[in-house]
Amino acid sequence: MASLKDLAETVHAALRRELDTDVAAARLGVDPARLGIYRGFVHDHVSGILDKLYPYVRAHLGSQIWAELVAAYFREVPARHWELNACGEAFPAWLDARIAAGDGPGVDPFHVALAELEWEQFVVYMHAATVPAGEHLEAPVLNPTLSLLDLAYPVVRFIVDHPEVGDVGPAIPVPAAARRLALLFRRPGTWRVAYYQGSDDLLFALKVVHEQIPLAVAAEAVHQPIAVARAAVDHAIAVGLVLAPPDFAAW
Amino acid sequence: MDPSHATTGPVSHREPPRRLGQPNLGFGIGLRGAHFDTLWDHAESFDFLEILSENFMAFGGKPRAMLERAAATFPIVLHGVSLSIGGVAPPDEGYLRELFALIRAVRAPWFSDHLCFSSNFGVEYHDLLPLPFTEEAIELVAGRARELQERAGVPFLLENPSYYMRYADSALDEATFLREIVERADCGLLLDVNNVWVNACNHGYDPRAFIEALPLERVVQIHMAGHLVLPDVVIDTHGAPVIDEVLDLYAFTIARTGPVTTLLEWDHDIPTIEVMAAETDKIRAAAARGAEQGAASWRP
Ligand SMILES: [Fe+2]
Repeated sequence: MASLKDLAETVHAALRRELDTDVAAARLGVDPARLGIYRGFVHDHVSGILDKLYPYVRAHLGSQIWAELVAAYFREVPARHWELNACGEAFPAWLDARIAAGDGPGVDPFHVALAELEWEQFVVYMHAATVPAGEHLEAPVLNPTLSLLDLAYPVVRFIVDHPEVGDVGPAIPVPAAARRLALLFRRPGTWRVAYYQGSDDLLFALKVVHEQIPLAVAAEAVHQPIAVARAAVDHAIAVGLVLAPPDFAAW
Repeated sequence: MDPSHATTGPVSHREPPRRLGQPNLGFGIGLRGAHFDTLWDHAESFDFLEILSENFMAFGGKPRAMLERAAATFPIVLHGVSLSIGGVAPPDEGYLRELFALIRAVRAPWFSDHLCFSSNFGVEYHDLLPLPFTEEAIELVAGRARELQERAGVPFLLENPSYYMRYADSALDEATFLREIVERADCGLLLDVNNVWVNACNHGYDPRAFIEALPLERVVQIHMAGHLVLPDVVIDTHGAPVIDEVLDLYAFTIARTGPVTTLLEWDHDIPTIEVMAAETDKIRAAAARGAEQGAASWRP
């Protein structure tokens, strides 16, 4: 009789696709078709979670390239965490390394940026912070779920231009590379993740609120009338990047 | 072995078995994202909720907020899939820390996971792999379950998993394997009646004889679910209504256990909360049937 450890090693090798199913099944004394069920399940849990986490990357690459990538990711990046979504975390960096190694036909650096945004969207959705209601605040604050991503492509623009993932496919051209900041946060009063390209006025408001700079001082620093500075902060409040007390009028 | 736990026949003849001192929580469902917005208008249809521990251990956001609301409304029990109690290495300490914190946070009366391994050699399979029915596995799992229960401070239940392959090394029968583990660990049994049905189909045994061979006095909770019948194998999908044969098997079980906390598991193609309530009512009716059949034997 094999020890539990020997048995576990054989099962492991079969599940990781390092050992042929028939060989492993003979060693375990099981029906190869039944062992094959588990092989399929273990692979499909990973591919299913990648499908869920990266719908835009998947749609833009098309099903064949996507399936090849997922199979390679499964082989090269074993799931290390007990939480299933966590096994998708390494995907953007892995994709990047694959392209750098010249191992990614059909895959573009744009897809790395797209994957970075999609992962971050999940992180922000699950963020532990609560977004406080305005009446609990004494002064404007940044949305505590805010995440700032520096992306090599205008990915936010791409998603805004294609709001339905069902309309995205390989025929849509890859946008030109251009570094852009993306701002992601949970919209107050909802559980939805909002994402904005880092425009001048939103980034200005972010800095002012983060550093608690008086509006007059901030306006002067950028040589603008205070009304312009105020409008930028109001815009940030309107989209939920900045949270403010209901009676917030002056600073 | 504690002699008060020993059953040699199908029926305890004096009173409903004590279920390790745990109450009957009634009939419940799993707290799933699909019902985050609709559950609250149907709260009266369910007596308790079960959560998949891993779905709430790592996260804030809407899941955590919904859990807090649920815990204020219902008793919550925890059910895990990643403990890997039969793994080569002991369960991960980081995992246990978060699990114990969640037990405390929702004041769970008990928690459960499967008699299986779900990770090994540092890799998570995110699936439940069967153990061989051997003395070595009994020793390993019983020791870990006993320690886990002591550390958690609330009862731990082991679930009989569905399994598709039986190893040549399995020297024992499945019921003996289960019984030996829960009795040596002095822990509870989460009896998944659909899993019994699925395993009986896949491995060719009599599900009623199997249930009668279990230490039924340790059944603290029951799972009910649907499955998928393929030409060569029955797959435990948790994605369909409970079939009549499984409801009958459940009634047969309740006739031998008395009323037990019962959960409808549905994890794929999750229907509306109205359908969940209607399916739960079918389970209630089957429980009432079983209780009627069994009442004569377990009333004083
Ligand atoms: Fe179950």
